[in-house]
Amino acid sequence: MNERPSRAEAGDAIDPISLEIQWQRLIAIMDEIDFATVKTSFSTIVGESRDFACILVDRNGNSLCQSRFSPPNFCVVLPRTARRLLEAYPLESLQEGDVLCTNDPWIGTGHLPDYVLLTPVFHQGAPVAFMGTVAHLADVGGHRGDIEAYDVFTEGIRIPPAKIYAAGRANAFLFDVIGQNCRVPELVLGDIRAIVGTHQIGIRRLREFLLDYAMDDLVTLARVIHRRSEALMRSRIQALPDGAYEFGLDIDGYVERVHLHAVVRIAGDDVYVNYAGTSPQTRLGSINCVYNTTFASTMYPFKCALAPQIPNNQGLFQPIHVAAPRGCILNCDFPYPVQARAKTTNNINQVLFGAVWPLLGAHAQAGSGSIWPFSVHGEAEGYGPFSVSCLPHGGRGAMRELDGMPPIAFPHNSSVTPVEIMETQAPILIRHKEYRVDSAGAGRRRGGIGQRITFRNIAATPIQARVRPDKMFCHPPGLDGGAPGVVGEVRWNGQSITRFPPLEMQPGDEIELLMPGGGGFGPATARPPERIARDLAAGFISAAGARRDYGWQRE
Amino acid sequence: MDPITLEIQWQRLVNIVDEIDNAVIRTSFSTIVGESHDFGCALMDAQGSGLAQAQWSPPQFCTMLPRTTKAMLKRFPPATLQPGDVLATNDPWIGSTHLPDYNLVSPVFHRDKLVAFLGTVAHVSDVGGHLGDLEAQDMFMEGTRVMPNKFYASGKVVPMIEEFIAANCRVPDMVLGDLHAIVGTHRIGIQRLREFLDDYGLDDMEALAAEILTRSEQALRTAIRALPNGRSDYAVTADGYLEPFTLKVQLTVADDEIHMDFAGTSEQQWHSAINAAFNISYATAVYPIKAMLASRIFNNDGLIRPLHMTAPAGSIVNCTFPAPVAARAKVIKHIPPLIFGALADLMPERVIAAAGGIFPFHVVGDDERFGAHAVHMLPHGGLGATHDADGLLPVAYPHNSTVTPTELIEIQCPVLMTRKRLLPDSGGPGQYRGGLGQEIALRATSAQGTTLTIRPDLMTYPAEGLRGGRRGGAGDVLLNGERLRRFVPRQFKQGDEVVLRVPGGGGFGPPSARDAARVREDVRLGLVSRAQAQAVYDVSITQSDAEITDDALQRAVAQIRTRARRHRAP
Repeated sequence: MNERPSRAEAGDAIDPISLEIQWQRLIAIMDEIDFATVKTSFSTIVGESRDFACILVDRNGNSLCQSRFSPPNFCVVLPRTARRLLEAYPLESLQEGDVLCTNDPWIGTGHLPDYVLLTPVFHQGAPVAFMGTVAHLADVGGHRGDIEAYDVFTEGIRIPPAKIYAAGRANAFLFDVIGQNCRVPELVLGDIRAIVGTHQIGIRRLREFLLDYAMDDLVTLARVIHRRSEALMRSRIQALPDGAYEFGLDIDGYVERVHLHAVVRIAGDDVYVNYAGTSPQTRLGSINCVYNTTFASTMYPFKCALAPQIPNNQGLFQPIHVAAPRGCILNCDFPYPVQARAKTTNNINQVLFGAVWPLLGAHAQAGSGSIWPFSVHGEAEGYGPFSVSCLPHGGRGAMRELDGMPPIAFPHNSSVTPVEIMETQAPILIRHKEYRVDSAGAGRRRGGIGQRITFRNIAATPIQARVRPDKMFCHPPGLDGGAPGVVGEVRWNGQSITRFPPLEMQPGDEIELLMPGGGGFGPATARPPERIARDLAAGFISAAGARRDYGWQRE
Repeated sequence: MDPITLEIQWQRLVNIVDEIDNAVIRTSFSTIVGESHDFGCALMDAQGSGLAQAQWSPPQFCTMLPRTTKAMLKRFPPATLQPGDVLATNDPWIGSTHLPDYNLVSPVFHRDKLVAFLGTVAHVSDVGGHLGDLEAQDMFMEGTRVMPNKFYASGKVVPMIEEFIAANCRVPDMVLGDLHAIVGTHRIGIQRLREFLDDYGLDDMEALAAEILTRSEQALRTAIRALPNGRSDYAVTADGYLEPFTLKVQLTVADDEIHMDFAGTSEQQWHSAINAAFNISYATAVYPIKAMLASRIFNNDGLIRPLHMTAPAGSIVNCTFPAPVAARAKVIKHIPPLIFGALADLMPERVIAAAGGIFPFHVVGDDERFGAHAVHMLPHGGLGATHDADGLLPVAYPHNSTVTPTELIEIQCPVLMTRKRLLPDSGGPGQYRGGLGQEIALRATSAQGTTLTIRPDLMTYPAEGLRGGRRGGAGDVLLNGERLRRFVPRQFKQGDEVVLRVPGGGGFGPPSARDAARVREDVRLGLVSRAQAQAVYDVSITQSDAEITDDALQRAVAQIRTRARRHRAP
């Protein structure tokens, strides 16, 4: 299948080969600043966990491309943030050396730790583009908890749109308040300065690019990228049957279950997603999503299913329209608590796949086991002060032709802190890390198997732990008759727990995470016997499980 | 300078700060500033030393403000200041030791020369952070911190700091309204001070400042020299929150100086936000001594120069960054009883037994009928007794603040006050009885609910008596009849009722020495029960003793009035 939009579709003067070369070079510039961010950052969350993204935005605030490793949601949100920043600081008010900044959840990516930094690129005296970075910084003050918050004020400090550098000069007040309101100022300010430095590299590279091609600006190139991408996306949508597809799904929420509801209407070459019928925003758990995050999480499955090979850019998002009623959990009002929004956004893809899976063929995916962030901090003899987190996942949902993958990050990129790192940095012994037998949803293609991890406090003193589980009550759903995955559970010294304020682990205490398996795809009765036999041999399912889930009679 | 001119000029300085104090009340937006009077105004000389404070200002604020101003000047030396600048900070270690207290300091220029500073510290309605106050593990949970910065530069507000403060609090209109109101009052003060300097043809304040500071210092030194040299140890143990703490002082009178060493005091706590940073511990420790030895001299920095305090860094009275500090009043209000205890044998006629403290009560929410609301009330317990008087009925102590009237609370938030009465038998028995505590019952009227925060004290260790006087009654908090022991913010919904039993003050002298007639009168007025009269004072009450005749009532009212008058003008 030819993934590149044709010249005729875009009606433009750049030939496909030049376009490809120029486009790739822009991506290479962003990859370079991405790499520079890893090399110069101070914190592990940016440097190791890679919780950041680098995006090139045109002078109107539309994204042109992103670095390859960037989490996709960030890349959809950042241009929206850029346009809001440009409302506060219009193009004509900007000077060379300015850097704009905010971490406002409603303007940015939906929770306070994510800082957005945007640097205008001047060429021949005029702004031609922006270097943009979103990065999850190490601390923004606020409470030590995660999910139990009354409002966003509990969660940390909020920087309204501001120039953190003006004409190359640092805004002393902003550095002061950001630094003085977080627990690890050297990490946070170090990361900010590092990012500002990477933008300088990007500016230099972009100017070289413009000089090499004797371009005055990026207007034409941006138009071609956007038009061709949009045209391609529209042609893919056009190929889908018109109609309205509806799906509702209960998810865990926190104290109370939450209902997500979507109607996906496909009309010609546009897609309209409406979340009317979704549960209202809540004070019982910081699981509310701002519109930006909902918008981004809605783009993701469509983009992956319909235009997987095209580098992310604004053109791809144009045909997709997202409506969520004000005050629902997918479009929460200020100042509802938002820190743990991933508990909700991670489930958006499931609602959309639930609605349109028959249209997406091999690209649709059943529900996954979600991310179960776990962290410990404190001070202990032999370790000093420590703070370590790991981001384990459950099993992934099955697809029409594929069994679900065993635990892996989804629906975003992140890496898992290795056992060795965890055990050397914190007084933690990982007693088990193993597949959770029989946790996968049965199906013609079964879900990915979940995992079990047990952490023990081996310090002589108590330490603080945080855990944010998901899918403890509502199963990762199956598709096309596939069975749902098995729900998760958290045990503290063997006792099931369901509330997650910061936990004090006494010496010898164990916290056990039983993470869900993914949902299956297609009826279990249609699973080829050789695959069942293979799962049995591999120990993914037990003999009893095979009997129960597949009616397996053989030994 | 002759004493009459000095007195006239000094009074005029006090009037200037009184005028800006009054202007703050008239122009403030919040109840905590406008009604509860939780703010202080002070005038400082060009070096930042305190010269005069508004007469209504809580005394600690006015001891801390000069210290804060001097710290601000390290970051913004006088040469960097312009007319119209206003410096601001709420840093607990530089300022008044918890985040809600914003310090605003304006330089006063006269004939192109920096001659003085006007300062105001005010407890603003919100600084973000968690909704609780006691259960915090560090300062970062408690809200946003603004280090010394220019809030106004050359008469214009600095947009970034204004936006930052607004973006990080729940009621930005109130907080910025209060802060801008204070800047406005500083402009009045600057104008008045210039008029004053013009009237007397002065170029600056230097000579007058030197006169005020030196004479005050000398007066206090003379008073201290009159005391015998010596050393006294005293300790007070108090509730704390999750864990009690002990304050220890070794107080030394050495010629014309007093040293207070807090070695042995409990360490700071990381599980409860009750830690006091040094500024407020110091301000609270010097205040009782000033009140005992120089009560008639207007507060100024001359009066603290002979007083010295040391406390180990990391102790609960000198906590280190970033220990949680929001509810430091839980610690510092035990400092005056500690100092009085240490001086009780030296100056028995000038000390006062421990008081019943304060139960801050705070309602925040958003309700159909009341909209977004944030209302504070600061009800107090009874005061401690002295060597010649029973303790006062509930009144603010050891600082000035007023109680938000019932009417205002009921108008501003969905809460109905169903009961407010004295608590019989809660005054600590003694030759002179501690003041009675009070009981306040509040009922929620909102179907949506509102969030309620209470910070009680003296529930385990009630107010101590002195010289044989007994402890006052213990405090208590009941929610729908259940006793509360943890004080996190709670949902307060229609039908819920909370009862605050704010404790009584400690007694003075042994109860056996109390005049039986006074015991009978207390019983008649319902302040003491027959049982307590019998058990504690060994006074048996007959039926006729217990009846209130019109005569007895009038006598009692007259007596209360006389006593109140005496306390007003000591």
